[in-house]
Amino acid sequence: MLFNSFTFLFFLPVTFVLYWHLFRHSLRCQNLFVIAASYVFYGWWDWRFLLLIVFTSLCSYGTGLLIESSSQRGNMYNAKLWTGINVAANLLVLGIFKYFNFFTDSLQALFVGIGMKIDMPTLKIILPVGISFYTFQALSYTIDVFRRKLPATRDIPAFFAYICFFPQLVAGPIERATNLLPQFQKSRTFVYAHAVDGLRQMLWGLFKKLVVADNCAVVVNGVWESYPDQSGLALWIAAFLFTFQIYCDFSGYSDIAIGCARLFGINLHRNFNVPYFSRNIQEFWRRWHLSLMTWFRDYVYIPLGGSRGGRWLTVRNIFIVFLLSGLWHGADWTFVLWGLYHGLLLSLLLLTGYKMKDKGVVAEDRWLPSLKDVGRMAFTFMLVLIGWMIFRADNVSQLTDIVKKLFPSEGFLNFYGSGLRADVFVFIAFMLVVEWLQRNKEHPLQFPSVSLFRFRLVRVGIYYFLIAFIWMAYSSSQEFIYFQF
Amino acid sequence: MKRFYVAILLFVFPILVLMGGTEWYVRSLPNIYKDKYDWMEHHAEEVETLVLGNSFTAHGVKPASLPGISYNLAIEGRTYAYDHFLFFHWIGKCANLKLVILPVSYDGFYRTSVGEIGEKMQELYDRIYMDSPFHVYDMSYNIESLYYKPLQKKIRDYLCGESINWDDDGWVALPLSRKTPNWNADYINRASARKSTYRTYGNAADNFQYVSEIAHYCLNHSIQMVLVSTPYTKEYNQYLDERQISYTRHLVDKLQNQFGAKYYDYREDVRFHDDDFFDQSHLSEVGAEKLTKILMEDIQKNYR
Repeated sequence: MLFNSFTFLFFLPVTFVLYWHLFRHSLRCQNLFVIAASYVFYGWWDWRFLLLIVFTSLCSYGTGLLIESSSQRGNMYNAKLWTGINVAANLLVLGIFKYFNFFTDSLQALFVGIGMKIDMPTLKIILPVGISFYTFQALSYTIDVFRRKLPATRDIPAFFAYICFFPQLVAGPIERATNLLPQFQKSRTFVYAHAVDGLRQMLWGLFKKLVVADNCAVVVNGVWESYPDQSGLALWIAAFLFTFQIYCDFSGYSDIAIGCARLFGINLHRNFNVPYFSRNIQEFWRRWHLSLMTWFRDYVYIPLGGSRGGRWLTVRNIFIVFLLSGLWHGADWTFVLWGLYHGLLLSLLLLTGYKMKDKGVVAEDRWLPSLKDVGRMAFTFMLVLIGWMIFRADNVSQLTDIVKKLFPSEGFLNFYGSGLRADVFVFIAFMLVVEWLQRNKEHPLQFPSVSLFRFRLVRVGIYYFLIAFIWMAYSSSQEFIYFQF
Repeated sequence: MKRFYVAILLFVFPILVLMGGTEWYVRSLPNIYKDKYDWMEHHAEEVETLVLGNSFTAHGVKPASLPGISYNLAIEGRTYAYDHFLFFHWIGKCANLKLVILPVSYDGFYRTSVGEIGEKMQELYDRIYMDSPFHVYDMSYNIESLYYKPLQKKIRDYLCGESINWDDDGWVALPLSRKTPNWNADYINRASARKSTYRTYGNAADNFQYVSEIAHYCLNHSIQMVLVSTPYTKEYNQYLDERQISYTRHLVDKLQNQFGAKYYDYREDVRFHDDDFFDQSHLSEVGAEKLTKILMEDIQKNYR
């Protein structure tokens, strides 16, 4: 079930009304209802996906209890063993569904490369939507129980609701058990201001997805599908548009998820913090897909030693994290290359001795950034854009073909037949201006209570304007990019 | 909570009213789908020749050049699934039907039967105005006012007096005056051919089934079924995939052998020149008249 579908338009109010009216008197019933609604939401794609998420939930729930009981008895070996088993089981499931064919194809290519012909088995499996997200969410629970950051829960409905909560089930944010699970273990109260703010955030998310991302997608897909016939300039412009497509698609989904969760009294963590206003690549990774990057930081980078073992160990750890991050995104060498590319950028930054001074947002107390900040943001944006080009390529062969066309040559400036449209740039500019002006806020529709914005009519007028903008600019429905991860 | 519900209702009410009003207005505007449906409702029993299909026949076959009472029911973007639906929807009323003309285009057998991205508006119009059985419960195919750009174009054409561009017999002429300067450019031909070339033919079985059922009915009711491949430019033809053409030919041969359908292939016909084309794969009004005359001569030759 997509957020931008009529089915969801009916599903959400029905779920909302039942949640707050029929089931509010019993926390257990309310959580069971969340599970039922979430399974309907998820099973709408394919009911068979439910078997996997139930397995993951049961496995993590049971293992959590075993880990805790072993720890309480002082048997740390068993506690580690159960944690290891749970991690292995979850990663095995992920590996089979997501990576099996990738690894067998790669092995086969390797054998062919050295002159050996071997037939490797392949599996004809559908990749369950959101498997990478809820698997990581489940893993965070068992690891945190092992680390004694939170007690293992015996509340099955709360735990299952934590794993399958529909707003963030298929494309994040990847929530930590320490944040989300306690919210299912206590009663929720409806707060008018939070619900309205949630709707505002959903509206902004829909705007980014339907207006910016989907319109960019039409152009990008057209250029990429016919890349042999496209000029270098057209490919650069398509890469530029893809940079905004992926941002608006993914952050739009996160906004809708976070806003939707607030309707149910649940607070999810922010997942994007205006990443394209970053002044360097390190800052970019502290603003992009926060839930995934903090997950890797806490469960991979820090356990490997983080930055405590000297420069070269830090570089090694960075490369491991970004290699895994690339692989997490998809089963193809282009994702691995993308991860390694960012690992290289961060490592180079580290080796220059750079230390990030400004932790706040750029031009925090000013209207406009300084020229120096503009230069830094533009340079960082360019580096990220090159990374997205690698990310967008269907395979390494297409990537090398595209890279060859990116350098000035005959016909470089020709973009006839590319389908490029001027209105897409207007949408991007509008989105950027709004996000710039509201860069200090959780989302841009959190208006200050000063000047014109203190009048309800003005605020409502802005909401109607955005809805009209969505209606007028909506091109054609495109799937959320991150569903494939 | 009550305050929240009231706020939502007050906010949503003007949107619903506006949408409802717009929907009512836009459905009252003239459109080719409604017009063709109404024509068939009133004249189906008179029709002797029925032209089905997509843009190739909608523009390429001129009913006025066909013998007897002929009607062009074809519309741009139609797939065989819709041709099948339309044929069986009206065949019970078509007591005088003698000839059915269906196109065989380069990609006709391979397109998704229903729900292809890019053909959404056509399927929506078929749902609303032709009462098609597809997407009955999908609201996004039942509310025209959701889509601003087509809506804007429809209202603008109506206000400028350009909303009716089809003849009383259903034919949609493509005048040479509207032809673009680079209509047959290499890059356009290449891109168009690539877009219409399929790597796998998974949809062919379904599409073949749709056409077979029409052919089977025609065979059992002494209705002649004619399959026609309309002309393409020489420059466009060179970019088409031989494998796809060959497989199409194989399917058509099966239809001819099993159901006695007659196939007329004008795709590479040298009698068609630049002025006969509107673009690389569609005929202009001049070319349509020419094709229809040639087609009728060939049909009559085969009958002798």
